Amino acid sequence: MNSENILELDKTAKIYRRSHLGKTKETRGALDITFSIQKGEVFGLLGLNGAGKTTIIKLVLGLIFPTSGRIQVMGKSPEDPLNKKQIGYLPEVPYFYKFLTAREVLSFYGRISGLPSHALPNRIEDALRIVRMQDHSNRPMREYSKGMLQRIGLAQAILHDPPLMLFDEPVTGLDPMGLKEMRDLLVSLNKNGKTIFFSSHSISEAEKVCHRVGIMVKGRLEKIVSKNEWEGQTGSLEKIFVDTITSKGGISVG
Amino acid sequence: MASVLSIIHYTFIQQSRNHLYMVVILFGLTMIAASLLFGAVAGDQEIEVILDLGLAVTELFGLIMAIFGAVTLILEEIESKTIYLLLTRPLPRSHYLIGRFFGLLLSIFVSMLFMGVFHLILLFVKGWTLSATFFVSFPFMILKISVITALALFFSLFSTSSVSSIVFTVLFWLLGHFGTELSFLANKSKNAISALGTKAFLFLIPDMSVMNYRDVFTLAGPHWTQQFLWGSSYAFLYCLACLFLALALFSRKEF
Repeated sequence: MNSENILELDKTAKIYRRSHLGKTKETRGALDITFSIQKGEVFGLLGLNGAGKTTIIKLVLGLIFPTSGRIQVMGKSPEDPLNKKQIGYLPEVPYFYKFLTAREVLSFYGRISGLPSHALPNRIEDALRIVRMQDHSNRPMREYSKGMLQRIGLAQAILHDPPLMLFDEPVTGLDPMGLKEMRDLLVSLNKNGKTIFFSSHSISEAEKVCHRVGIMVKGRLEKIVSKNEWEGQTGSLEKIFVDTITSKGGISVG
Repeated sequence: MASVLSIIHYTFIQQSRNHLYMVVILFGLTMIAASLLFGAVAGDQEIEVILDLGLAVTELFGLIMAIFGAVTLILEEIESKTIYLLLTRPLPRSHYLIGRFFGLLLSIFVSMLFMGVFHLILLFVKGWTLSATFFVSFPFMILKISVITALALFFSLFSTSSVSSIVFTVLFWLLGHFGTELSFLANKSKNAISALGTKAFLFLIPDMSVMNYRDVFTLAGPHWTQQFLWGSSYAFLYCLACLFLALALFSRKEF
């Protein structure tokens, strides 16, 4: 592994197998995925619904296991629990315990992330300040709107100051102001040295923040595009994306 | 260790803020209070009836909480996807499972403590003279509840639906009380294969007779301590086996 590579996937495949009444149904989640992300990079994964973006993120997080191939996060297996201290994860829809307040949720995640008790209150304050949720932090989560839940989702992802951030569809469902805030946050985190890997449907957002973009079609990573290939030409990344999807017959989702 | 304690703490909060948890405790307290009615018609056996019914209700409601709580303990987190944000933390799956198990046990024990204290108050009001039998029965109940919680947790990870997990757990609970009868049937069986099958099955089901506090009442003197030692050793090993198997299933589970 290259010492600068923070994340590396080598010929990784994931086949989902579901057995029912003695019959096994196989669905391909990801096939022959090879790419790496360097320290300090913002890498976006683009693709249609069912292209395999979330599968890749779950593989990197160790929530599912690869059928074949190899994944390394900072030189270690994603299944290594201690290595997860290095990752901040924001799911597409943040799912929280509705019976807890935002502050209690962050305190809980902070403790299981190994943050020392004396540092925890300050870290929680910092995270709440960054996502601008200080005034609502003592309300139970069941009273939160989708946008507020997304903010707390972000707060828990950055709480333990991990070097690698994994965001699954971070801009889906956000209003224009929310989009701008998320974009600014991604840029700011990256400026502070964070490596960011996210999946998205939004080509325009990826165009604005990514250094490189991977395009997935039917479980395969068909193309990796660098910023210099789309920079300076509005709509260029969209054209590359559409051409790649069309040429690989990805319009009909497999 | 700190992560296990955090999971225990949040599981306890989760259970105690659940309306259903409060409803079960209240219902249990009402049932214990209802034992006064049965006591009233029992003549000079009034206190005995209140004592027996109260203990039975406490155990029954502890059992209901254990089965439903353990079966939904992990499944609910998988369905609500709250488990994503836990397992993507530096939290070994074993710590999560153990924390959830002990967190649930703690919440059940607290609810049983509420029922026990209320029961005790009723007994004193009725002029009960303090005796060890009441206090001896509680540790035995805790052993049974621990075993059934571990078993339900294993079934919840083994089975694909919560209904089948509940059915399996209740079945094992019932059969666990009929170990002697099953053993008798196995010895009487003329078919060697079915006899062997029954005996093998006997090893799988929990032997509830070793944790049965009712036997304590019939034992004189120090015998209950021996029974408790044997029962707690058995319960510890049975829980350990269930948790070990549950962990084997959970460690390769995909989300």
